[in-house]
Amino acid sequence: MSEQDDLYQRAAEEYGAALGRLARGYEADPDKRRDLLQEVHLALWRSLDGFRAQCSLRTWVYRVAHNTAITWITRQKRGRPQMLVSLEELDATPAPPDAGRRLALDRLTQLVQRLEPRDREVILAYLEGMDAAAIGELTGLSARNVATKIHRIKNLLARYFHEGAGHAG
Amino acid sequence: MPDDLYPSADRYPSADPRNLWQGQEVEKILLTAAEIRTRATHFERRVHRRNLREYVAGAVVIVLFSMQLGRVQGWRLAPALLSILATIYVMFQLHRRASARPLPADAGLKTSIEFHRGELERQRDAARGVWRWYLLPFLPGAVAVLFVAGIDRGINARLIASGAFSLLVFVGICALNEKGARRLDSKIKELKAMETENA
Repeated sequence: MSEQDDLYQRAAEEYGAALGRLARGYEADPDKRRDLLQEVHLALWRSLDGFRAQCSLRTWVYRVAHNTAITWITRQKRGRPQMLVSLEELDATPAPPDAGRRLALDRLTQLVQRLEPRDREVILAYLEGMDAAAIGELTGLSARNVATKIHRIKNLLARYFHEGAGHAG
Repeated sequence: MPDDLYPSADRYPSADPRNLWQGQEVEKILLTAAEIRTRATHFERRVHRRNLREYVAGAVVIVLFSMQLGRVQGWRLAPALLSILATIYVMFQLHRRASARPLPADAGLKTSIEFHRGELERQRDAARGVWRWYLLPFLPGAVAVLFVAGIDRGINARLIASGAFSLLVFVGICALNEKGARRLDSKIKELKAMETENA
């Protein structure tokens, strides 16, 4: 096996679940999600040929995955336009009535899927447990921008899930 | 749908969205080296097939104009020949500028802002230069068609209306693409501002 193949196996084992969640954040349709996930894996494998530890493997994997997914939703939007909103816009709209928490995960997924790509990437990274510095490295956003977005995300999630905005990155 | 694919928040007493998100079961794929090489080849083929479809319309235009070549002679061949050349040139440009392509291999090196900006710039440049690489090549052929029609049937209202309509279509395509390019430009500026903040 080549070094590229070895790296891919390592990345897929370590971050495979995160990639699956990321695909869910970007694509609601299960069949298309499978296609997206496969595209992410292919892009990852192809990209690892150029991996020279310029950043951590995790950052590399997430960058490739988000960049692939953003390209994917841009392509999907051309054929199926949908209204995506920013964190600011979502924060300004009332939270839906509490459905007794039973469908909390569905609500969270739908919330993520409504966001425009830039904000979706930040919220997905936040949900994956990345801290502000890692989110900045992944997205290229300034520390101030990341801090503002995380603050909004916490408020938004607190409103949607009645959760104190306690911990953060 | 199996319950554990979408566990409810009741199973996460704190309803911490991070726990909820990370605790969900999702489809994982782990491909062997051989599998991924096979799928990569399939994927490349699919991309090529998608691009191929874009050329079919061009091929139909070429066939239609080629059929005219047999019916006329001398300088009257000019409209069909110029239109065939224009179609070939535009197909080449479409392939170069706007065809579907796999994700660039350096996607892991670029932050998403850089990557996204690069993609938007590519689309903007293709839209902004559309008059030069998409419309202008067809102009000599269109002018030649009108010229031949004018010689054969004289300048009449129908000919003038055809010329005016062609001009309107050209200007309309230019205006729509310019509008699209300006919209992309404002998005690119937003992304650049975010990057400058980091510099």
